[in-house]
Amino acid sequence: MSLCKTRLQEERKQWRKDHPFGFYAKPNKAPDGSLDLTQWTAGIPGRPGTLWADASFPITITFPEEYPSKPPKVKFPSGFYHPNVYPSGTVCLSILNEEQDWRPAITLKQIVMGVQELLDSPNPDSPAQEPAWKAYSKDRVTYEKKVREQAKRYATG
Amino acid sequence: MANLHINANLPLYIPLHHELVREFETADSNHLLVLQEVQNAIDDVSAQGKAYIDFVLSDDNRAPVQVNQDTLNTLLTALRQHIVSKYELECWKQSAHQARARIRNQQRNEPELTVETMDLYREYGEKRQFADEIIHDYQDDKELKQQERTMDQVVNTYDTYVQLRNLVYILQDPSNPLPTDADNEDDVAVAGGKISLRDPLSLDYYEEPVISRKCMHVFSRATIHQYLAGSSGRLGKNCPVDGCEATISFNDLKPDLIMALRMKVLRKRGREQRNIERI
Repeated sequence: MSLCKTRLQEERKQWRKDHPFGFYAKPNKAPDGSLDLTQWTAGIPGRPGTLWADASFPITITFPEEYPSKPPKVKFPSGFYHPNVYPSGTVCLSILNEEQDWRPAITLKQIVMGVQELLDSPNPDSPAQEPAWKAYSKDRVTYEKKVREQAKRYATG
Repeated sequence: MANLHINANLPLYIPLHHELVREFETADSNHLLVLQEVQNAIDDVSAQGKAYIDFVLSDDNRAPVQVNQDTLNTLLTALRQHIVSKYELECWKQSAHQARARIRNQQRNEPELTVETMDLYREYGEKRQFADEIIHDYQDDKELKQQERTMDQVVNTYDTYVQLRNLVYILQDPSNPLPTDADNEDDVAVAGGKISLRDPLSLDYYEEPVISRKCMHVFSRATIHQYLAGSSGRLGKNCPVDGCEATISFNDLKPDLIMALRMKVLRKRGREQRNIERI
């Protein structure tokens, strides 16, 4: 069995055994009803006490064949409002970049926690979209308003 | 005829008789045989130690897994003594080689001892008792070598010794950290005071564990080989563990016999567990 497949089966087992509170993550179903371990859907809860609180933001995680040598790709819905999210929804995060901080030992749990951390702590040095980045650096009032509106759309409970 | 006066006192220093030199050189070559004997003894005891570990972990040894502390101590003491002997012999060998060179050099520069050269030898006085210097050199070398590495460090380079010494802890719980880990290595993968038994690449239990000499991170042989296969030979790749600064290549990997022992204990326990469930 390939390393990618073994690893993803173990990731699934460990996630089911134990995962951080408020998160969910599950492999997608292939058209024939079997599980496609290379495509996952997950939900990132905004941290309590932040602009992102009381919402669960959906992401898709796509694992390449070379995983875990290469990192998975993490995407929010296209048009997601965040300084470090490309218009396509792709997340720009150093631990998800093979040229930067990706290491094969980084687990799914670490990835989703990293994305949660990114929500309220954007990195102003790596802008990925114009609107959120501009607002974040120049017009914090508009930025916070937009983030709150977005959180309402993904509100939980 | 005043010249006929002969000083009959013998000089304090006279050259070594060539017979003695030859004997010394023979002793040096015998040493190789002795070293071989000691090595054989180490191999024998190691083989016994391995066989004992295999027995403890085999299904012939009825659950719960136990060791006989006396057997274990006997094996450990014997192995340690042989290893220390070998180490001391090697120290001696080095010194003896230096001594040989010194003696030869001395002989080359000395005229033969005759009535005519006797005055020359008298002038040397006591200074040239170089045999004493050779003895001092040996003592110095020995002390220096002992400062370099303590005997504990020396015995810990022997895998079977380390396995035997830690068998008791690992039998208690295969993910127990070892007493030496806390003292010598800061970088062992410890989660909540326990050693992870899973390969960081596959997250599955270790298979044929190998350890990186550079950073002491442990991987399954197949997965780390697959990871490194994409790298250009000697240059290697980043260690797969996040936060580790090491670059590792195939040459940095060696079998991790302690992790292998942990896995054996884990599997033995798994079999016991299944037996209990069956009953």
